[in-house]
Amino acid sequence: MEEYRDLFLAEAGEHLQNMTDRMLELEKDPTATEHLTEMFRAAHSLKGMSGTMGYELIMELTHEMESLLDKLRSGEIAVETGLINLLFEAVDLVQLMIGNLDNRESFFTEVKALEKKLREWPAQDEGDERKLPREEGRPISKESSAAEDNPQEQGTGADMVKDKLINSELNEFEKEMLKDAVFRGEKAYLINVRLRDGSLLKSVRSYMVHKALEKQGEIIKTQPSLQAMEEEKFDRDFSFLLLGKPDLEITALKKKIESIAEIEKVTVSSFIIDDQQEATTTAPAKETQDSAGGSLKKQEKAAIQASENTVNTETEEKTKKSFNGEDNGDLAQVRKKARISTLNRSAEKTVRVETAKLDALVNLVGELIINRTRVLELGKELKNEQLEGSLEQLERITTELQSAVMTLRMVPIKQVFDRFPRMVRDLSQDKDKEVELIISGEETELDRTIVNQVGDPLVHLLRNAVDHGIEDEEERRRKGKDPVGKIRLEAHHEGSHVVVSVEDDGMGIDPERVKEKALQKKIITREEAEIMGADEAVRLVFRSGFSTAAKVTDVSGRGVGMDVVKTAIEALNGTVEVKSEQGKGSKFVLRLPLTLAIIRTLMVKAGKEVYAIPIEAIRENLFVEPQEIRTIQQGKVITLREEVLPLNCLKEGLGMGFFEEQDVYPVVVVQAGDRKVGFMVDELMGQQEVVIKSLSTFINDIKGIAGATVLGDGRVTLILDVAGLLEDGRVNVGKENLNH
Amino acid sequence: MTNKIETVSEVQMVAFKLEKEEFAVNIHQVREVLKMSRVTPLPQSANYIEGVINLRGEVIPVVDLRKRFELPVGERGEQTRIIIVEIQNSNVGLIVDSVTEVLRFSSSAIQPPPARVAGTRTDLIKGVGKVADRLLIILNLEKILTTEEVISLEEVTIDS
Repeated sequence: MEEYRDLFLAEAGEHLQNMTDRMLELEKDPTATEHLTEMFRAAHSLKGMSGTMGYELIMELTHEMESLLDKLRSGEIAVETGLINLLFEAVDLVQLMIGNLDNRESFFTEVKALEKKLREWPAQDEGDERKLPREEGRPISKESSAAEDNPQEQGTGADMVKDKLINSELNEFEKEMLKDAVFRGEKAYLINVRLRDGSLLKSVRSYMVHKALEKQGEIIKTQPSLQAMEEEKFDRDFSFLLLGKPDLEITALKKKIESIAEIEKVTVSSFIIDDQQEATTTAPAKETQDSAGGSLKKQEKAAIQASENTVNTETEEKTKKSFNGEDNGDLAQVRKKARISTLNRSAEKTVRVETAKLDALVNLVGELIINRTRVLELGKELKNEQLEGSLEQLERITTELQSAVMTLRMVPIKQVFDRFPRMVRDLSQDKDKEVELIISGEETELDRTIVNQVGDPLVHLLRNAVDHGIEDEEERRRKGKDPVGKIRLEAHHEGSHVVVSVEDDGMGIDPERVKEKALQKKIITREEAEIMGADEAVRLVFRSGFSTAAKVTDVSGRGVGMDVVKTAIEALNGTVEVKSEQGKGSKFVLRLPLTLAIIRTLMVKAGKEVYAIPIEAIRENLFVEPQEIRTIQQGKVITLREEVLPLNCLKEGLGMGFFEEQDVYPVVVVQAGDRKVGFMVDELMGQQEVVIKSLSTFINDIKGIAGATVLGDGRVTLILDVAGLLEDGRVNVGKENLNH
Repeated sequence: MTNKIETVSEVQMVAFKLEKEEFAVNIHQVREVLKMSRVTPLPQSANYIEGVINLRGEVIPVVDLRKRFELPVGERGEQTRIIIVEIQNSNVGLIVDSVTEVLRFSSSAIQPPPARVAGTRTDLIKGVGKVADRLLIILNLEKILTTEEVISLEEVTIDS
């Protein structure tokens, strides 16, 4: 069971997310009942999945959610904020239990309390009999009888699921066969058989059932396949789809199968093929009416028959396990069941792959690219025309392979954005502000690792926007603004970058207040404050130890400020900027690289070594002659477009050598944050895309080194981390160092 | 190939030399032995870390054992080898003067480090192996490579 846990977690997460999305939509437009259907479906799937996995508490809670949603759907109760809040509460609790599967039982009291609330909303109490049977061993004797009181609904529900199960498995040919049979006046029956626990001759038993059924008609489908049955590749349940006479003696057939040893339970029900089944809930399909006239009536009859049969079995067999657990113990079915919901929405086009496997693949392709470069170099030396031809081919294919593999790692930023509508809603409710979150560009894709790490900074920015950006309703009215504050969360591609922005139409950042605060916190000096422009002042919010919130609120504050955002983004090789107009709002713009695995670098030679500098950090390259260099307080500088640019020798900066005089110095101007520095190198060697490899865990982090890469000739080259390098004491970064 | 099943009472060791001392490391810990190749130096790291090399795409740090034990840097020649060992799930290269052979020891030939030899650090030595009249020191590489303290050769050798 446990091996299916990951699958369960992933699927359950999707269902919960779907539910959250739909609830938010529904809250906006309570008449949009299609969302209710989706929510109901999600709750139902969750119930089924958790039941199969044996997570009773989750199953019970989702069952109550489902019941409540059903009431909503039927119009018995109306959509209102309180109800949505209650449902959110339930979603949260389910999420919590899913996140703590091993301790899920510890939520017992919460679940029971919430179940009661759900059941009694809005203080109606007809839900008591809807209680589910408990799992084995829990001493609640009344429960099983409660199940028997109400098996009809559950019974048909389960058969529907099973029907669908087989339906989703039917190929076109089998469907045609079914339709044909119905046309001929034959009928389809679904026979579900469960063997006793610990049955020793599973394949024999299934074969005997098969034999018994064969006499009654034509078996057109089995679940699992006949071969799997022969090989005992099933748990305890198997099903047959049988075509037979419409007046088939169901009870007799059942008895016959039950007489086979080791059979625990048999259900026989009429089987309705997919399009017809849809007809029970939606308008009857025209085709159905035409080809198999009166089939609708048959369906009704079948439904009754099916439920009758379930009643029989339910009474015959003591309910030993919870209903859903019994529904399908077969693990393969967990998957299928969970899959149904996705199948309904769109044809399945995706495969879940472990991320570790993906990473391994990306690494291998990285190796391939490196080796390709080497082979190409060797090929050129050989000057063989045929070889060159096929090498070109190789180059093209491997390049395509590389980009194809890289796209595998790309995921839409939606994964992160998805949780924000809910968060902003809760926050604004909390703060008693009206806030609308407008999201666009959520389909923008970027590297999985980046997506995973961009979440927290965005949470921070959004919280800030709600808490400090957007004014309360009254103030907005007074200012003549729309009383509903707007926060725009946007993502788009820009070259090899993804730009994500968070923009609010709130009060904006007051540069004077920021300066004052910075002065108080001794982040800047009085003199600096005086000459500081508004934009520069606003940027002070990124300095560590700075937080504009007057008080530490639940929303933001807690001692962390925007510097956390900045650090996190810079760790991803990205940048963050802020634009703010007082009274009109602020905009935070994050620029993120598409991928972390491969970066464009400029190769430079310094001493005997070659280093790779990420293009991202480079502003320009210069050639500086010795006479242009001046010395201010032991630091070298040049004047570049009326700006004083501190110069460093890269070798010295890395501690790998000493400055040597040259006729002309190639200089790479790099920037990290607002610091700009020139590095003198021996030679500029051109741009190259490199695969980043981390240095061994055995080596402590080296400030100024982001990682290493292997060049075409097999040599290891270090990749510089410009931000880290500039923080290092031995690099002259200008004014801040002049004090030392 | 006659000895396919390794008996419990026998251990295979890769023997190597440093200065005049002989050391050994369990063969299970050794990934491979390479000839000395170009090492990319790492800035701002311990002096005994020679740098990093590329081993089939993996970037592996290389430690100069001579420098680790405060020995003068010797001539690197034809005999110089890099032994790739696995320590705490990552690979590390060790530069040694030479790799001599693979030796089989019966367990009884391996003894715990003598406790009372002056200057010897027993925490850095796993044991001492005896073959004929040779004494090989089995180093505790985990300890030696993960601690930052200075270690001199005397501390890991035994004067017989």
